[in-house]
Amino acid sequence: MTGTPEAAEPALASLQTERLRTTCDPAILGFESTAELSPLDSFVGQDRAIGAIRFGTSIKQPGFNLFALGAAGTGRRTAIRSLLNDKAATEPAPDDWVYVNNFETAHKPKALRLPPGTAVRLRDCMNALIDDLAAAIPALFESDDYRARRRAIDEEAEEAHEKAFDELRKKADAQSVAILRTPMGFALAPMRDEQVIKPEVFNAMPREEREAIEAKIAALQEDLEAVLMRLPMIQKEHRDRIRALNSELAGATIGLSIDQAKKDFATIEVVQEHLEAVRQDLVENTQIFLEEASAGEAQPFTMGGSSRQNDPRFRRYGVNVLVANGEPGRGAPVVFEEHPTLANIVGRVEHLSQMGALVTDFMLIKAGALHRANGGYLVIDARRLLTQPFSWDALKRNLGAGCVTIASAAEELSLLTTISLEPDPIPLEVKVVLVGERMLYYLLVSLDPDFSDLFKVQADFDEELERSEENTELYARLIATIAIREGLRPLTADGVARVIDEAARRAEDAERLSLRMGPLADLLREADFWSGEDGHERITAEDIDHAVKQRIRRSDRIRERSLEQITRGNVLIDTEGAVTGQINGLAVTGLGNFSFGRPSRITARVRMGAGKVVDIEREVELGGPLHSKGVLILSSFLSAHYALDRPMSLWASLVFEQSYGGVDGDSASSAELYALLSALADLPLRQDLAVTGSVNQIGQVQAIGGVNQKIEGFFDICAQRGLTGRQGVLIPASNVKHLMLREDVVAAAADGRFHIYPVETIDQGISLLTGVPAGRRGDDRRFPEGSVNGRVEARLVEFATSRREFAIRPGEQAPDPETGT
Amino acid sequence: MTPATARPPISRVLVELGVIPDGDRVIGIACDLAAAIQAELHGLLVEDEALDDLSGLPFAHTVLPGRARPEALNPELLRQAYERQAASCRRTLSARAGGSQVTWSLDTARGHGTAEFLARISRSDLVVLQQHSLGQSIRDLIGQARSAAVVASGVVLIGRRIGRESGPVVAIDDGDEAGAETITLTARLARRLGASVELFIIADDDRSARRIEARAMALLGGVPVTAVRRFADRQDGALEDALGRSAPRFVVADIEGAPFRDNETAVRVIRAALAPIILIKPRPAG
Repeated sequence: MTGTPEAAEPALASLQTERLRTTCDPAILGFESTAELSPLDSFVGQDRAIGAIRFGTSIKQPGFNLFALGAAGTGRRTAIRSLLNDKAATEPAPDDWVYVNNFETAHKPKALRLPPGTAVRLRDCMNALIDDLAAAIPALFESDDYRARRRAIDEEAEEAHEKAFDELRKKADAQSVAILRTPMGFALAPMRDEQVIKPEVFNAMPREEREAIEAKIAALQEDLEAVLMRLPMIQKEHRDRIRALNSELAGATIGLSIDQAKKDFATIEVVQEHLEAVRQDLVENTQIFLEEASAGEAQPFTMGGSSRQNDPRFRRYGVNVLVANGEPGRGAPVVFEEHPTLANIVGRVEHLSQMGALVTDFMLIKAGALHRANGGYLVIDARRLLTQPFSWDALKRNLGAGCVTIASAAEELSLLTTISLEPDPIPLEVKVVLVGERMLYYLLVSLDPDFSDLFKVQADFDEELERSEENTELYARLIATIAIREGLRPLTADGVARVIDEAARRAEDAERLSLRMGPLADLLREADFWSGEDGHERITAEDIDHAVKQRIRRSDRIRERSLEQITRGNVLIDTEGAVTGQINGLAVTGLGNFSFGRPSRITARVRMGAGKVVDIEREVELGGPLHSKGVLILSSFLSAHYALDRPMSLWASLVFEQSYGGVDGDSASSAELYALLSALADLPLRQDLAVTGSVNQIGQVQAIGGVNQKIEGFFDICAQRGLTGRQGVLIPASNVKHLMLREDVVAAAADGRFHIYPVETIDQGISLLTGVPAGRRGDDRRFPEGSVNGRVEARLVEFATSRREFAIRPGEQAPDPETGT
Repeated sequence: MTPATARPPISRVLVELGVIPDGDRVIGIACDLAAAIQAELHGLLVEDEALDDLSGLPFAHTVLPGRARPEALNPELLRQAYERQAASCRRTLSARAGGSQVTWSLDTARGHGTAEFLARISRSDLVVLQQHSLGQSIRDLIGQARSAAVVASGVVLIGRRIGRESGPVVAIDDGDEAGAETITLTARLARRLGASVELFIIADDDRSARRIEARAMALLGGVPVTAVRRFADRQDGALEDALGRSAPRFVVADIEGAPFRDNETAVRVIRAALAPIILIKPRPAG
């Protein structure tokens, strides 16, 4: 029996109005204004992520750092900030850290761990100590006693200096030899009659006399060498005596100051050790206090305020406060590093330019985020971190090593040739929270072997919330919370309902609400602005609508141009009539935070061939892989659905007409298949309908994204040209739950001027598009004659027969087209 | 050397650039002085004839400070050393004097060392003398200064140890006519260097001290005076201690007045000052 079209396919009805947009009824909200609502103290719809953060921040074992993943605007940072601040407030403030000079190895500054609140006190104490000594020590050296002793030492050195030379000079005089200065040094010259003996006179002397002169010159020369060699020793001895005198005089004063400082930090062993080192160094270098006054005058620019602390001679006694955690009630630190360069993460050693050279010391060590967050929490944007050279590696290295080691990019690249430091590493106990997109998380998991060891906790932030009655109520409170937090006007119940509808539309799902807090807060801020402009005391549904429309208005210049191209006939789109092998597909164009749908004409041409469907987009490399996949699937559908006992002898081509920018996705594959079937069946397709939906190999129409924008895109064209009452869009039935259409589209549908058809199968769609039943195979495995499928199969058999005829050699008989024999 | 009759104004700063150990520093000081008194700067290199004779002897050697072995000396090596020295002095003069807008010149003379240098001093000269790093005592330097001052209008003594290139200019005024010239030069020098002045008055009674101070203040004009100290003539050690505290950049005094009239006091003062000492010769009366 041959199948009948009527029995197989009931007529496809367009959707009822209430299914096109699921609106929130303000009456169910139970309030008139959000002013009546208390703000939320929890995070709506993020139980999984919040639980993960609580777990990750509580577990103390190493490696349990967190990665908060999810789309931007889902409230990740707000949630993390709030949770971390709450937790940190209950934890003790971590220790302070300072760097001090290493008097034994100056390029390896010492890190001192101090109880919280001690670092600044120690720094101030050392500054005061140096200030006191700078005042007290010069006064000691002003004393007559000191001056007399100092003058005696100076004169002794001077006399020793002169005596050494005088003795030699006398000895030389006694032997008629003069000590002469030359441009290079000293020379000994034999004298006669107070004149140097001239060479001709010398040469005329008897040999014995010449030898005698040479001998005494040689002997005196040795004495002269000895004197010259002894002079540096005299100078050194002089310096040592001065130093000893200075130390003797200043030692007691220095000792008193140091002992006082030690009392102030009696319980801190590392400070006691450091102060002892300072005492020893000060006693050995007392003269720096005596040089101070004149050195200050010599500098053309003085550094305002604490010039003594900036004086290179006194900096060695300073205390560089790296981290100070002494504020009462502050708890553990929570640091958000917004610019995670290598230096900002691990700290840096700065340099000063002096006489054209770069110099540094321990006072120029600057803390990084790891130092500041040590003992607490560090939050970093993952993308920013990964795009900064060396930052990611440095973070991993320090977390892995459990200590912060300062390294510069120049050192990493071996570019630094100037003096630098090797500060003591500082033990690290920090919980790092990376905030990033899902893609980054999964890329790191798969590509970086260290990542999973260091970031064991994922806090996955959901982007949507089920639109249940309970959640709608919660969402209303969330809106109220944002309004309170942002200082906005309260919202009326209908305003809240309108925001909830918009949240569903943003989620592209009538049964879900978007949890992207950023755009939601922006909508409320904008609505508040318009509300103010209109003199409203509360934000109404009208204000929300106005805000939405204004936002679209600001963004839709390209949409308008695109629409105009179609209405002016530059881009060919029919919205009435019927054409064979031609259909209106639908595409979505994304422009940052705004996207819109637009129709695109798809055409198909067929002829006998070798079983190939040519995707022209693919051939010219304008089609993406998903689009190619869709075309291959529909080719497979054709092969498996029709003329199964014949070789596929079709050559077909498919193209998006006037498409110049590339096509991807498979949402047009059902439209392409309809065009192909139309071409094969030689049946015209309705041009007042547009189609979206992907198709699988067995002819089922599957859900696609952007259904609302696609429908609205075709609606706008039809509305511009005048709605006929026959126009509409075929969408996958599985997309019906996603419908949150604009109110003007819904109104047109309610009036019967526009239609949305939910399609489950290709047969349903092609019947609607052609007005001819698709037809099902009967018991004889044949499609009903005249049905779309019957006509398609007949055409394919015809192609197969013709192709075989081409293959018959002259004299051979053509096969029976029915039996193939 | 021509004996003085009436001293003309100083128009030239003369500096011996023979075997000085620190030419750059001496030229710098001489430049500051020349600029302050708007005088020409003249460098003199004396090629000692005694060295010529010595370099012709077969055993002639030079012993260099800090070198283990003496080096042979011959006329050719000596000539090269003089050439290097002249080139170095010219470069330094050009750099330092050029930077200070001071007119400068450099001469080379042959003769008997110091005697040749003294012979070239004129009455309008301020002569810069530096204590040699070795083999010359401060007493020798003072002796040389007195010889130079027979003709020159003044001398500048630069001891072996000079403290610093900052600090006040100290003027020592004993109230005579040369004291007035001392103050006038001090004012010009302080203005040139942007330095302050400390006034050391040598007076045995309050009245004289007040008179000297009043005259000095008038002569100093607007130059800031940061300290005025009074000393009695022949007051042992007080002036030296005060100089040590002041840490001056320059000291200006009268070569025939206190405390430089006797050599022993002068030696102590020069050692304590650790600064160049400018000694002005008084104009003959009438």
